[in-house]
Amino acid sequence: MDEYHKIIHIDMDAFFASVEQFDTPEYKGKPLVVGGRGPRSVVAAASYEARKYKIHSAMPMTQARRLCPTLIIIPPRFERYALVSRQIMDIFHEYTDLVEPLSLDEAFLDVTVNKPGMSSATLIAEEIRRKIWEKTGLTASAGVSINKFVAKVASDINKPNGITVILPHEVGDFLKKLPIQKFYGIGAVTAEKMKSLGIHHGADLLQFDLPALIHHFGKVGAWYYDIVRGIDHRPVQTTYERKSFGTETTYSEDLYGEEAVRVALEKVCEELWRRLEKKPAAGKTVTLKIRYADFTTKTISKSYAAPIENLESFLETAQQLLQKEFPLKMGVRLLGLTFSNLQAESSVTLPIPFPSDKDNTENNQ
Amino acid sequence: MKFSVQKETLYLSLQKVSKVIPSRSTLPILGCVLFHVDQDKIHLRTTDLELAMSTSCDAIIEESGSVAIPGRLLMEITAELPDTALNFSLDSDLITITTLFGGEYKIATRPASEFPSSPVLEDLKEFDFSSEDLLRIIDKTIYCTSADENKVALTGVLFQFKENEFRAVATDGHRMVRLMKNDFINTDYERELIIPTKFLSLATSGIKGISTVGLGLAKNHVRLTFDGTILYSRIIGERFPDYESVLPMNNRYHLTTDLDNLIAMVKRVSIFSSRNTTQVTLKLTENHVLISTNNSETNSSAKEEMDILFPEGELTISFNGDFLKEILRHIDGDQVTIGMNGTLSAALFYPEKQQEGEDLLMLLMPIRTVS
Repeated sequence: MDEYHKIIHIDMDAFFASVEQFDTPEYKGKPLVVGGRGPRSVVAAASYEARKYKIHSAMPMTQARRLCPTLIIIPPRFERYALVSRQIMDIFHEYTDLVEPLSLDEAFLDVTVNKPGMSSATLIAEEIRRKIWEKTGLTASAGVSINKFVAKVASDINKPNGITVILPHEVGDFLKKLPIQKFYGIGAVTAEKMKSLGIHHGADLLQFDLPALIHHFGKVGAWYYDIVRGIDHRPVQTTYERKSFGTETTYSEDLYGEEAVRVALEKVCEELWRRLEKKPAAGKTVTLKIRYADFTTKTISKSYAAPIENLESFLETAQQLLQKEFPLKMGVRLLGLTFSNLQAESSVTLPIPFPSDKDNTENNQ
Repeated sequence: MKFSVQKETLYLSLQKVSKVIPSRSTLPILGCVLFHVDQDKIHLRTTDLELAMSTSCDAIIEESGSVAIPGRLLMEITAELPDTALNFSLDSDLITITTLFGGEYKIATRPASEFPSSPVLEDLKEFDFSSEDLLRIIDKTIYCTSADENKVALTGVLFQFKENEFRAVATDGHRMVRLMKNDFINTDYERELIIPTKFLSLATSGIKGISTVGLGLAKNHVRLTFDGTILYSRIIGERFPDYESVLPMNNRYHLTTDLDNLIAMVKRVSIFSSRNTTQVTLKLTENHVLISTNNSETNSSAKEEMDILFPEGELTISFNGDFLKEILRHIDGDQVTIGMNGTLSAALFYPEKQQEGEDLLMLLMPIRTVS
């Protein structure tokens, strides 16, 4: 009977703000936001009390204060949030190792097969929510359904501190009645476009066939076609694959002269390589970013068929890319390097351990 | 300059030399074929500055001379013309081709003096090679060379001439092949040089069906002479890695098995491997092997087992399936022997029975498996 996957989406309620309210009890029940106090700061998270004032994340702090003059503003404490997040993730892993964290406060769990051997995903979700409350004093919302898409939409329905279960036979009806802007992945702009086509609910979207959706929305139209039918085959991915590694340095004073830039780039290279060496990955593409004194920015990249395996080759490639920018037109404000097109080193054939050439260069004819 | 040549004669020669014309170059002269017309022959030459090729064909010459003609355009029109006599005449910098049926084609040329001159061959030593031998040497080694321009020394095959022995070695840093020929008659020449992959692959397409070819080795160049055609290349002036030091002296584990059967198994199993790594895993237990793969992205997997000659021990080792197939395909005979030392150590592959006068050995590094 269980031909369906059992997917849970857990989403912490106003996570950063709730952590602050838990840690400092006098903040409880008060409008509070997490964010900086500078002139260009924005809201990172808002408590439910603050949301009543129409304050939401990414809003400029000045505007938030205008909406709610008594607003409590707390600078973010990311180490603390990460610690709480780890406690929550540990709870997930009591049930399954198929956990895909989306951020510190959100994750997908595939509990089709689970460690305690429970048959009800709803019970698991309720247990998890209870344990989170017991361990951290925070509330979470859950969505339970047959795939990631429906579970994610569901977790939003009874938020905060609620659970929504969409059983396999209910998926069709649920999506038909769902307002189009509630579809996860359909943003404000797309929702407006859909409304102009007469699409207000899932049922309206269902009327459009695949070619029509592709005609109106391009490639992503195929995705809309699937999700309104409750089709989402994306597995819960336990390992988040990094697409690239990069670093950049803005110089306090602009760099002048080719030699100065070359030396600076070498430092950027070494810095990035040090970070890479700790990670089991090697890339095939190197991208150089260079920003000039007048803020014009240029990126140049070079790709190889095989991953670059040592710092010498990496340095050489970076310098070759830089060479293309010579002669320099003006001072350099920023240098950045990105290493992408990564291949997990664990899955790459090991190099033959040839003795290093440097040891015997004097034998060279 | 004025001459007449049969279309098919010219076209065959153009086909040969055009292989060296670089597909894109900042120097327009390199897109040209140099024509040098003299007595009763047309001499054609092309180069990409690393490689050069020249050949000649018969023609009726009215007036000798030299000029560089854009190669691609000339090839295209020659290909389309019927097999009749074509008349070429040069008037200032325009070459006009006329045909018996009234066609007239004009191509802007470049002066012959712009064309890079032939390489100067210093300390040239010539060998006669049976082309069959040379083809075999190239075929057994060229697939192991690297295309990585950061590892110039590995973008060619090492040719080692020793006293009464010849060796060809190639590696891309992850796999390696060494072919030794003991039947090589050589008295006093000892030398090692790296011959670029591109030269060897052009040689392969040129010398099929020819019995003997001349291999010329100069200080900085290598030259192949066959069938009225000469192919030159610069030698790779880098140091080849010390390949002997990485060959394991003893192998703790040996397995010998039927080659065709093993290839077929690896082929079938690797269909299910991850496209990115093509990883296949060999799990060896006493007289038994399990070959398996697992693609977590598509949630597919495959396994096959067979009895083999593996007297003792237990070992699990993973390889890139494409590399493994390629190595096995280059082994002759019915049986292959694989020598191994451990999960993360180099594995050696060789035919159980070597060809006469020959010793073929291949090395493949495993994939690091995380457990």
